[in-house]
Formats: sequence, structure tokens, C-alpha cells
Amino acid sequence: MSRIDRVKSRSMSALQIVAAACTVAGILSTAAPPSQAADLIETVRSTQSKVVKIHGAGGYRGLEAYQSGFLFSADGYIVTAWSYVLDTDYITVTLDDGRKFEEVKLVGADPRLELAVLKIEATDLPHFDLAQSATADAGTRVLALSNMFGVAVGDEDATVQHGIVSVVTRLNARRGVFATPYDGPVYVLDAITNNPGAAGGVLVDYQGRLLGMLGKELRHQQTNLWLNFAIPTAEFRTTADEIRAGKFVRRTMEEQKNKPARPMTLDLLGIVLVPDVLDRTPAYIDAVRPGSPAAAAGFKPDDLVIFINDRITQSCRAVRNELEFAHQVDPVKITLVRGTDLVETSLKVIGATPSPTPAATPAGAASPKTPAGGKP
Amino acid sequence: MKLRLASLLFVAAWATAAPAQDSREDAAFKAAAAAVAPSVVSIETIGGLETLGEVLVGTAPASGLVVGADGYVISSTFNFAHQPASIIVTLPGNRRFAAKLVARDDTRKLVLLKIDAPEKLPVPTPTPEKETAVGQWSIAVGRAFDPEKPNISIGVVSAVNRIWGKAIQTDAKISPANYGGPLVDLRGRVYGVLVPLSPNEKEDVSGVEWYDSGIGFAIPLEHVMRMLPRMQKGENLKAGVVGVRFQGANVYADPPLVAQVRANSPAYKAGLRKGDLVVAVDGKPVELQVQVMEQLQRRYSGEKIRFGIRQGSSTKDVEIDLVEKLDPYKRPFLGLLPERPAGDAGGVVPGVVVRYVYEKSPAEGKGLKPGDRIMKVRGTAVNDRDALMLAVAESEPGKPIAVEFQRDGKTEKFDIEPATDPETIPTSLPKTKAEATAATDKPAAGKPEDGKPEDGKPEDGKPEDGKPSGDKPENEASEAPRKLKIVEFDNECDVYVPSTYSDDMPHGLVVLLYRNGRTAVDKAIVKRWQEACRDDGLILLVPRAAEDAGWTPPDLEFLKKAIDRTAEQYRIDARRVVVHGVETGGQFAARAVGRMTDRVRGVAAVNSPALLLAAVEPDPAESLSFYSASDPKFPGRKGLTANVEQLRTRFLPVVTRDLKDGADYPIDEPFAELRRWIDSLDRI
Repeated sequence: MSRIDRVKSRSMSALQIVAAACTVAGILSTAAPPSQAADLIETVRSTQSKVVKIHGAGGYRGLEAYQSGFLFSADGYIVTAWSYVLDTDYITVTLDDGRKFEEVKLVGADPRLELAVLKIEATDLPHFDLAQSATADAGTRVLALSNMFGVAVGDEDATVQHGIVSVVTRLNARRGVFATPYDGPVYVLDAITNNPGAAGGVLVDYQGRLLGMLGKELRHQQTNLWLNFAIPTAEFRTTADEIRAGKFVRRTMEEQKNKPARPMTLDLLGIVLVPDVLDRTPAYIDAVRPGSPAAAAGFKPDDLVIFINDRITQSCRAVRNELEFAHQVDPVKITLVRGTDLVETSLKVIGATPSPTPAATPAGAASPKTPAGGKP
Repeated sequence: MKLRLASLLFVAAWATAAPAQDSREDAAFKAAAAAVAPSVVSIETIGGLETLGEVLVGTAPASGLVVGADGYVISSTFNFAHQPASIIVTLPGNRRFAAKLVARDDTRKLVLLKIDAPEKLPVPTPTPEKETAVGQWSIAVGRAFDPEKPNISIGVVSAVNRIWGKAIQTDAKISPANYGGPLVDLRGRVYGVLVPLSPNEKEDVSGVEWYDSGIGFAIPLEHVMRMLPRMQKGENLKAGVVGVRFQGANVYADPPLVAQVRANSPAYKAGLRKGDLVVAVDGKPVELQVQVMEQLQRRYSGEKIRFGIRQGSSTKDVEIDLVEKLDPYKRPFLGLLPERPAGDAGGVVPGVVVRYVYEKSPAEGKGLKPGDRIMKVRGTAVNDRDALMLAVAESEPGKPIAVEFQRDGKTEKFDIEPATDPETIPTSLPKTKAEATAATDKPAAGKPEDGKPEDGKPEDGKPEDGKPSGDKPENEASEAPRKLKIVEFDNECDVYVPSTYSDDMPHGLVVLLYRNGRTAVDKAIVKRWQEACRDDGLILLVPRAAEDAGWTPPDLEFLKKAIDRTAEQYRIDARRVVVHGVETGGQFAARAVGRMTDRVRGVAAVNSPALLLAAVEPDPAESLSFYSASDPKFPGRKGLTANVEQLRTRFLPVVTRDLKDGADYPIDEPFAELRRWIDSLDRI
């Protein structure tokens, strides 16, 4: 055989191997399901070994004495939900292999995230690496692992639930709707995870990567519907690490801090709302003070105030509440319903104090004259 | 080296085999939700009720679906149950618009809104109902958390044609987080609009208790699109009723045998009557009530339905209109009393002679006079009093009907507009021709009918003669009553037949239920009634209760048999059968009448706490009138007044009369009025 022929024949055989390999690969990929199932089982197994069962205070009046947590270091640091269950000196942590730890230290907690870090004395434990977590969006298939209802005891595995992420959103886009201080993004879940004992459990994707921590049982204040959600890893990773390192500094409630010292008021704007007699009186304008910024903007009685700075205000109380977050000196965007139209206006109040008498002196943005005591 | 390349390729091929079914499905779910997302809007409301029943109204944003490119949005009535003052729709891209509520579909819990859309909005494609299969993936999409990001829930189609054929069922999590939003298939087409539904409850918020429970419903979008033109015109779509009630309690096992047809309902007007059997609906054979209900419940008022019915031995097809609600039956009143046929004259000479015309009545207004002979009503000949009554009863107050009558040999016509029963009793009434003739003739004293024993020997079920036949009594009051006994009943019953009784003149029947049925009737009262029986042509029955304690349910059965037996022995005028209860007897009568509406035409009560305590379905062929005489201070007066009010809301005619202080029975004029009331029971 000539040299060329030898090369040719060897490349032919190489090509044949490649072809064979591709065919085999092709066959194997369409025969994927069995190996798929095997992958999922593996994911579950490896994840369950990182989930712990926590017992502590509680056990009466419907408050369960158990919840879930997960390991994030080989030497036994655990992330869990900050709750009344930890409000005792006698917290026990049971691992997936049945080992029970009664010497459990509450290292620290963040009330804003409602998250706590525990420590047990152990080594070489399977754990999640918070730096290696993943993110999800609406539609991603997820698994939730927890000890909901406390059904798992001793060396029994945590419960696995499947579902998808329903939406990624901020809980308190509307103020005061959820009784939780946390207002960052959450994964709302299409799986029933708001069960006793599930808080502190894990949310993972089908590849076993950590997506977040299962949240506490939470109810929508107004519709009374239960919310199934998890806090994304990115939101708590730094805090967990800081608590572990002993460097955590509690942040005060962000929202309260954001309230300006001199907030906007209806009086400054020149708006008088209807008497607030119902639980949620719609914010109809009863009167507009002549010469006020509202009057200059053309606000009329019977206009309905529905958005302040793009936040919905469904009642007089909500309007007043929302104005407390607006600075006196900043323009405030007010959206009204007038008849069948939506009218958006930006009102600005110049002058630190309201004008004394409405009739003679025109106050507000348009006038060059200033009332006594006002800024020039 | 080539081998290395080959092995590299091999490994690469192997590695890419890993992303599999799951991530393809993930991608499909996300793509389907993304395909429909531009048509899913967020809706917020301001104001309105704060609680609905005991449920505090939620104020979270709701979802809606674009169904018309120029700004029509469909949503669930759940989101608007609190009747908000203001509705704001937010289109994707955070653009807000004030919306108007255009129409509702109450049968499917849908509401149509309209905004002034800034551009042509994307309208989603419906999944054809034929392609909706149980087991297919279904994705519920809402916009309740974040106006920029729809929230989704995955499930499968669990069933179709649920809730009386109206909805698709899914096990995706359906809750206020997605009511009003779409349920989509993997291709992004919309199966239907999500709504809370419950098979039995009809409130706007029924079915919410099943939220997130693995059971949820969607109204097929194809159906919504079919109804859209009507809703766009502002037409509220409501359930339709026809006015039929079937016999039996088990809709899943009992055949559709008609138990009652509401007077003047669409079913009545189409010819449906008690006893008919529905054998087909819209051409499809049916055997069970539930099959008929399924067809009725899917339809709206304003539509029609075809029933195949079997009446007796013949079958026929009727087409019935569905209406939004059935009006209560108001018996039309012309204002005349008919002559009562004497002997067997009824039916032989056609037409009905007018005996008396009420003052200020439509008949008086048209100049009708006693003696006129009514020949035709609404184009059909009326041969006797009953036919005339039915012809008028099937008309409606306020709607003129044609009447043809003869006066002095000439035929005249007019259109007359019936009024409603005036609830008055004329102050005096002329005797009927039959009565008048009987009064002048020799009275046939207590002549028993042919075939009865005259030797006084009592036979089972036959009245015992208390006196020798053929004698004319001098004083009516001295006559002892006959006894009526029925086998298998312990009750005793007195029968007072006036000496003037004759087969030529059908007599009315008064059943006196005196107090608790064990006390002896006051002799003065009996005397008064005996005179009334003689003068007015009535027979009086005085049954007694079987138990010492008073009236009990078996006594009702006895009453029915007693009336029937008496009707066999004597000629009874079916229009003047009255149950007359006194005190507790009146209370018993109030319940008993409910089961005797085919026999009893009048209920007269004295000092009774109620007149009617049963549900009675008015039947044009069976009139029912009420008379109540009571002492204003008697203990049951308040209950009585409330009961009378109730009867009047159901348009049942009631005449009330106050007795003088302390009176326990009408005497003199009040009693005479009661007699005239009985005499006018066959008023038309």
C-alpha cells in the first residue's frame, strides 16, 4: 500500500470510529430518559445529604417545634430561617445520616432576611458552596427539600417536592402587604412549600445547584392567600458569610430609614381629601385650596388620587402613608382618575411653610411674591 | 492524532446528550408563557365594597386577557365582585389606562372591560376545543405580582366539559394570582380564561375556597370569542330558565318527568304541562334529568331550546325560549261572576252567562252586563265556566285579550285588559240562576243518590242516614248530621247536607277544621253554617282529629279522602271547595293545603296564626284565594300579618277582616261577608 493509501485507510478507519461514536452518542441521547431519571435521583441524593432537620422551641398552640436548614461549610455551619424555634438553649440538629447534635450554637441572625446561622461541631460534612449557586427565572423546574410537617425523623431523608418558579419579583412592591421586613426579590414558587417546618429548607435546580432558602409561612395581608416563596442565594450569601466570620453588622430597617425628615403633606399640596370614614376610603379630592400647587395644576374636587410616585394608593390612608416617603422639596408625581381619563401631573411645592391665608396671597410655584416667612 | 480527534468528538457528542427532556420542557413552558404574555394585562381597582359576606376584599392586582385589538379585555368577575369605583388596566410596558366595565357573563363568571388602546393590542389564538385533550400540559399565566413579569403555574388538563359543560379543569395552581388570566397550551395558544367556579354555588366568589388545591377551571376562549359580539354591545349574559320542575329528588337517576310548569312561563306557553316526559333535547335522546339540566345550564337567557316530549301517548316537539327570570304568576281579573250551570246544562248550551259584574272592574268598564253570554275568548270558543276561567287565567294583567259575547241575540266583541285581583268582596250578590230555580222548586229533601241503601244500614264509607228520607224538615237546625267513616282511619266526620240539596245544583264544600279537632264545635256556629248551607248551596264537613293531642299528619290523608268521598256522594262544585280553619285548625290547614291544591280553591281562617305555610306553585287552572278574620288582639296576630304580607308578595289574593274585640268567630255581617267570599270563589 502506498503512503497516501495508508493515510487514507487510517483516516477512513478514524472517520469510521468517529461516525460510530457519533451514532452511539446519538442513540444514547435519544435513549436519554433512563439516564435522565438516574441524574435526578443523583441530584436528590446529593442534595438531601446537605439538608438538616432542626428541633427547638415550640410545640403548642399550632407553633411547630421544628424547621429545616442546610450546611454551607464542611465543618458544620448551617443556614436556617430565623424564627421562634431557635429561641431556646436546646436546639438539636439531625443530619441526613441520622447523627444528632445537641451542642448547637446560634452564631448570629439577620432579622431583615429572617435568616440565622447555626454551628455544629463536625468535619467533612457534605455542604453547599454558596459561591457556586445558580439563578432561576419563571418556568425553571426546581426541587424543594425540607422537613415539612416534621415527617422525617432520625436518619430519614428530607422531603422532596417538585415545581417551577412562578415568577421572580419583589414582595413589597405594595407597602405593607406582606408581614415581612424583607423587601428584596424572591422566587415565588409553583409548589406548596408554605408548610410548617419547611422554612430554612433548600431550593435547587434539577442539576442540584442551590437557588435559595425556603421562606417562612407568609400570608398576603389583604387577600389572605398563602405565599410559597424562597429567598435567592444572592440575597443572603454575603450575610451568611459575614455572620460566619463574625463580621455581621445589623442593618436597620431600610424602609424606615428612607423616610425623609421633612415629608410632603396634603396641606402643602393644597389637597383636601374626603372624610376618611371607611376602612379603605377611596382618595377622592374634596376641595382644592385656591392658589395652591394642586390648584395651579388644575386638580378639581371629585378627582380620584390613585398613584403617588407610581405607587398605587387605594385609600386616603395609603395616600398619606405614601407621601411620608416623599421629600418636601422633591416634585411628587400624582396620577388621578378624572371621569374616564388618567391624568399624570408632577407637583412641586416651593417654600418651606405653607402660605397663611389662601384668599389674598397666591402661594405656590407660579408666584414671584413670597408669603411672610417663606423662602424668597 | 485522528484517533484523538475522534475520541474528542465522541466525548463532545456524549456530553451534549445530557440536556434532555427536562430542559426542553422548561424551555417550552417559558416559550409558551412568553408567547401569550403580551396579551396578559394587570388590573387594579379602587374603592367599592370592603367585605363580601364575611370575606375581606383583597386589593391585590388581578389579571386580564386581551380579547379585542381595540382595547377589549376579559377578566374574572371575582376581581370585580366588590363593585369598584375605578378600574385601572396596566398593559405590558407599564402603560396605565382607565377602564370601563362593559358587560358581564354571570354564568361563566366573566367580565368584559374596555380601554382606549394606544395601538392595536395582540389578541391570542384560542386552542380549538376539539384539540383540547385531557393530559396535555397546561400553563396558567397571571400578572398579579409584578406588572413586568407574568407569574406562571404548570399543570395538565384534568377534564373537559366540567361545571355543566362550561369549563376546562386543570390541576395547575389557580388562585386570585391568576384569575382572569389565560390557561395556555405548549404552543402558546389559549385553552381558556381562568375563573373560580363551583358546581353548585353561584356567587361571584364561589369556588375561591378551592384555590391552589389542584382543581381549577378555565372557560374555553373559543366560547368567549363567540359571545364577544354580544358582550361588546353591553349585553349582560345571564343564565336562562324555562319554568319547569321535574319529579323526584335524584337528578342523576330520575327521568325528566314534569312535576310542575310555572304559570305563564316559556315552558307553559310552549305547551308543556304536568305529567309530560321529556324524551329528547335538541334532537338528542335523554333519559335522565341531569342530561336535560346539562343542556339548560350551558345556555343563556335569550336563547332557545327544543324539547321532544311525550304527552300521554303522543310525542311532539316544542321550542322554548329561555328567560332571565320567571315572573310570579298574577292571576288576571276581568271582574265578573259566571252563572253556575244547573243540572247537566253545562256544556250543552255553549258560552258562559254573566251573573254579576264587579264595580270598577275592567268588565264594568267595557259595559259587560249580567245576562251577557260570553262565547269566545282569545279566539277560542268557551263552552263552560271552566274553559272561560282557564282562557282568562292564561292571559296576563295589562295585556288586552279579545272577548266575543252575545246580548239580546246579537254578537258583540271588544278587547279587554285584565287587571289583578282587587281583593274585595261585593256587598251583595244575586243568587245564581240555578240557586234561584232550586229555591222556587220543591226541595228534594235529602235524596240520596241512586244505588245507596235507604234502610239506614250503614255500609263502609257511606254516610249513615240520620233521618227517614222523604220528609221535609221544619227547622234546618234540628237536622242531625250524617256521619262519614272511612276504612283504615280512626277519624270521625260529620256531614251537614242541607235539606235543599239537589243533584241539579252542584254544592260548594266547606271543610271546617275547628280548633284542635277534638273540641266540640260551638252549636251556634253549626247553626249559622247550616243556614248558610241551605241558602248558599253548600255542604259542610266537620272532621275530627284522630289523636287526642290534636291534628297530626295522618289527618291530612283523611281530609283528602273525605273530600273525595263526599264528591262521590254529592255533586260538588269544584270551584267552591273551601278549607275553613279556626285557631289551631287554621294552622293545620295552612300546611295541609299545600298537598291539596288540586282539590281546594279557598282557605278561610279565623284567628289563625297563618294562612299558608307551604310552598304552592300557582297553576292557572287551579285558583287559590284566602280569607282571614281575626281579632286584632289575638296572640297570633303578628305572625298572621307577616304571613299575609308574604302571600301578597306572591300575588295570592287575600281578604282580611278585623273581628270586634274578643270575638272568636264572625257573626252577623262578617259572617255574611265570609259567605259572599265563598260565593265569589269562581270569579273571573
